[in-house]
Amino acid sequence: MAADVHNVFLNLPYHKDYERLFVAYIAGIAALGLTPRTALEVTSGARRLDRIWGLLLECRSSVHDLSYLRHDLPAPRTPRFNMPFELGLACGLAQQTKGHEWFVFERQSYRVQKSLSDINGTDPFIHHGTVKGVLAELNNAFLNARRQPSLAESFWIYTAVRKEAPNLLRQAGSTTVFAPRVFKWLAFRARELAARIQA
Amino acid sequence: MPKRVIIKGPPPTTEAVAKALGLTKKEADEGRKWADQAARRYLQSVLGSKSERARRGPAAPSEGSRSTSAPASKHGSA
Repeated sequence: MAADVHNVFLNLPYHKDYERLFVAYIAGIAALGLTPRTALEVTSGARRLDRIWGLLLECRSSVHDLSYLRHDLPAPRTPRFNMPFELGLACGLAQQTKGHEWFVFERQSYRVQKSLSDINGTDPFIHHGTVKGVLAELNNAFLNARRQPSLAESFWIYTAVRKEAPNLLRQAGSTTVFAPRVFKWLAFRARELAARIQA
Repeated sequence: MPKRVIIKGPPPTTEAVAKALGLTKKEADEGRKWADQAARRYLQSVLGSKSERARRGPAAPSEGSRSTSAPASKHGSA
């Protein structure tokens, strides 16, 4: 499938501490008139890596949040390699096709230069771990030639979908927003709301 | 200076987004219904704040305009 300029692959840690930021990424991408896509859509069937690669191929750009640098608590305690690994896939895709754009988001300035020095020379977008930081940096990374959303509009969409999240969790029987159905419902609601308030 | 992607062209239709995300018709209809209601709340909040400002009268002069005119009394003339 050809890459769609309106599809953005979103790569971030599925961790309780990132729920707010996850919703912020969804809202901010939707506010830009784009559709967030995540590996959460990859459930079963074919080999997971093949499915993630297939999903990347559908996306013209990708956002990689590399701010999670901790060890998980459940034993055995491990760091998570999925985010940098998927960034590597996106870099490979960009090298191969020259049509894919990838962006690195971080919480702290200059940290990624240490944690992943291979991408030195690439300016990361620093969100400071805040919702408004994520929304503002997404607006810096993407420019919608037809209509750029204001930070206030993006934040309004974030607030609305955030308030809706508990209802969706109940409907899905889930305790986390990092569930495939909850993600899809949030992403679609955010896109629909963005289309309406920016019409 | 970080790079930037410029998005051109019309956004995909609501049907295309629902299809890309793998939603059923029922799920998409529920999403659209929610968005209609949320958009109404948004308009009310925007229009409400505009009408509130209109009701309160013209905005106070800004710092910049104040500096070029006569100093305003902070205490009024009561």
